[in-house]
Amino acid sequence: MTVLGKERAIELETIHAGVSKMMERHMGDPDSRAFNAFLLAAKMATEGIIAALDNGTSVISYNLGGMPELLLALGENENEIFPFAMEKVVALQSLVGDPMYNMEAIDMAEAQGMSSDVCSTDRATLGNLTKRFLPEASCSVFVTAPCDSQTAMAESLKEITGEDVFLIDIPHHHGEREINYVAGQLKEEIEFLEEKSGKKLNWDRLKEICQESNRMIDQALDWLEWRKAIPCPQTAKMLSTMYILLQDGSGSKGATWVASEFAADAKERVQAGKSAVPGGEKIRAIWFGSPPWYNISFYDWMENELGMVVPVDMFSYVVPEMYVDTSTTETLLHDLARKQIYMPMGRHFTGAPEYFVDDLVRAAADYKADCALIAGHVSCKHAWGVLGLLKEALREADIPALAFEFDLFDPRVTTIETLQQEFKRFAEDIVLPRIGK
Amino acid sequence: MDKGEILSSFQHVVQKPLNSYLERWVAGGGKACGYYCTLIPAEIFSAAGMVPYRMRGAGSKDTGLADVHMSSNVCTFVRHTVNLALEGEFDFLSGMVCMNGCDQARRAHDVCKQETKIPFHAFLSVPRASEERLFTWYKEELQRLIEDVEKHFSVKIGPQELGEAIKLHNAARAKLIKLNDLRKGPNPPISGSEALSVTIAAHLMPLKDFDELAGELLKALDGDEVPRKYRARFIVTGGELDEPEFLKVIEDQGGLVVYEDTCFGARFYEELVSEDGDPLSKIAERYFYRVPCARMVNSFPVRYENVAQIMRDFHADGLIAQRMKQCIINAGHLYNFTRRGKSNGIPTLVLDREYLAGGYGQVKTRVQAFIENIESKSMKGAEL
Repeated sequence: MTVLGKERAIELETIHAGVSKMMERHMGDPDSRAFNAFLLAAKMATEGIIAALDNGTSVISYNLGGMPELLLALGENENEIFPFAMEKVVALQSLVGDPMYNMEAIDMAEAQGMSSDVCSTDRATLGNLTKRFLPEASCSVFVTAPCDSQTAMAESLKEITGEDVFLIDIPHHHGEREINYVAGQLKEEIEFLEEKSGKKLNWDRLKEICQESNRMIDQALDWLEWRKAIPCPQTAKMLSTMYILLQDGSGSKGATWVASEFAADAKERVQAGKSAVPGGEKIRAIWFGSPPWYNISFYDWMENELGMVVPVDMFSYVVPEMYVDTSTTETLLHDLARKQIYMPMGRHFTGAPEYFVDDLVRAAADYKADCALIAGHVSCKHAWGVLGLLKEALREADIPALAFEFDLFDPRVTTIETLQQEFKRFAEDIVLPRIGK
Repeated sequence: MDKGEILSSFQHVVQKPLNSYLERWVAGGGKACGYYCTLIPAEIFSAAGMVPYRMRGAGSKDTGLADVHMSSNVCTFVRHTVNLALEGEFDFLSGMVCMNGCDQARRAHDVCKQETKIPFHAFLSVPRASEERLFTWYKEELQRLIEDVEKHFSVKIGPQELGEAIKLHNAARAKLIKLNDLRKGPNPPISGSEALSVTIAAHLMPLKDFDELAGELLKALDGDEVPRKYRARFIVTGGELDEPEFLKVIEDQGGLVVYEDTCFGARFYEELVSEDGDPLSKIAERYFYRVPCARMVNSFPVRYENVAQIMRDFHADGLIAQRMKQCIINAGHLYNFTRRGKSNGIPTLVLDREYLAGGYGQVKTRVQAFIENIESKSMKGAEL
């Protein structure tokens, strides 16, 4: 099989073939407009990686909690640097490729000594790095969000590749003092990037990139507003992909377009009175924690079998604090720091428990949810560690909750059938009787 | 007291949450402040007139209460300490200070703050790299902690109080360094498990009492070279390790542990705080810039060089890299130790373990195999 005229690593070929097939299957489906936009973005992201490999573009990698804006602004012209969100390959493999390759990469990392306690996202990425089919980076930027696995990954990456790693330390609290602390680090990051890449940061382009990011936030917030409608207009399936757009696409026109498709589709469906569930929604749930990316069709099952919709989840929970004031270099850095701290998942997992607990309780109220789904990815120790406090807060708010254990990428931890049984019991025995359906 | 009696006193101190020395101190109206990580400078509590007390789980029987709050996906060290706190076993503490040492320990702070009777809680956000650009933040965090402690306990923590605390802590550190140096020779007068008991005790008892007892121990050990039979000398590295029993298991298999590169081990006493200059700056420098642990990014090369040097200084035959199950922070360094172990010739054994697990069946088997492997490679004859 060839991709863009060449034989590729089987992992990349599989992602490309998978997304191409899905696009063929869904393109004509009017109910799939938003998801189709994501598929197109996934295809472009895959081809972006391949182009970086082919063209020898200078690559700077960054981790799960990071954002690309500063990297995009390096150099006089566009695309002088390829900002590479390493973990997106694992996400793409799961969502549109073949999860078997992730399992293979996970097993490889474990065989070489990485503990199975570390997040499967990072274990799979480590395996992919060892397989050597990813673009080689000249250096890396690591944010300490969202979790300890980032530290383990940074240390191991450095050991394998010898790359210099620049650390952005995200503090425990998220106030003005902390934002200024991170803004100071962004300034230092620029010096690091300029030295390592040999390219100056172009402040005018950074301003344009952040304006583009803001347009994406506009669209994302608009989209979330439409998703508050009853019935919920769209499937839950593309919710968590917003995180990929934010982490990988912020500042690019393509990502803004995808977000605008999400919003336009939601609006159109609300105005047409369409529901995510053909038979009518029965339960509205907030999904908090990682998504079941190892089998994203689980959302279809929830909707079709249980009539359970998810109007918002943690990964899609964009907030206005993510806007960047582009008027001066100081406001740019200050607000990029704030955006970094307020990224979904990062703001929930890195820090005091209220950032996690309060957001869930607020989401349940704002989106008129009947229940909460506490999605416990096994490696999210910060979330497991605050489970009791979270349950207490939900009890006080009279929100029933299901806490369940699974792995974001590895189907061997909890099978879909087991999840289905837990969800069915929760929906039928707890939630439906409470809401009188 | 002879060596056996002194060691027995230390061993008694480390067995339960409240030891007799601390009990006496608290009964006399003294205060103790709990803390959770080696990056929290204990000098600050001493300067406030309190006994610094390192949180740990010894004496815990189960994790039932903690499991309700944290689930079994959190490491057993954290769950045992939280369980003790929820049972009220730490109610003798006047305060508890935590930091973002790891995702699990910081949640211990959240649970204990909300669910225990401990009256004062504070939290330090410590940078994840020992880099100069982040030092100011760390020092500011210490200053803020000092202000919180001053306000809550109505005490003054100025340069004079900090200076005196530095001297107190340095004296204890100096004794531990001296004790540890005795382990370099072919016949150390103290085993690894005994030495670790002494070091742990320094985290738990009034330092004046510790200083006195440690002084007596050093006198008793002077010239006391016990001919030891061992098959291999080990450095133990990793994160939390406050179970002398774990080292005893290694030593019962014919190993001799000569250094603990761990949180409750040498990380507590290696490097003194400079007694010249602004005391808070010197405290911050010592804690921030010393050989980093696994929670610090860009730390492994320095850590590895340090371990390699210790291996040479203490004439070690192998490295045992241990990690609490669920500990993600240390998984990164252990992965690197494994990789380097394969390429650089330092025999390395990586062990995962549970806190207070007892038994250690698998540990015994793996240590035995490791010793045999070292012997077969070095052609060193087994003496046991």
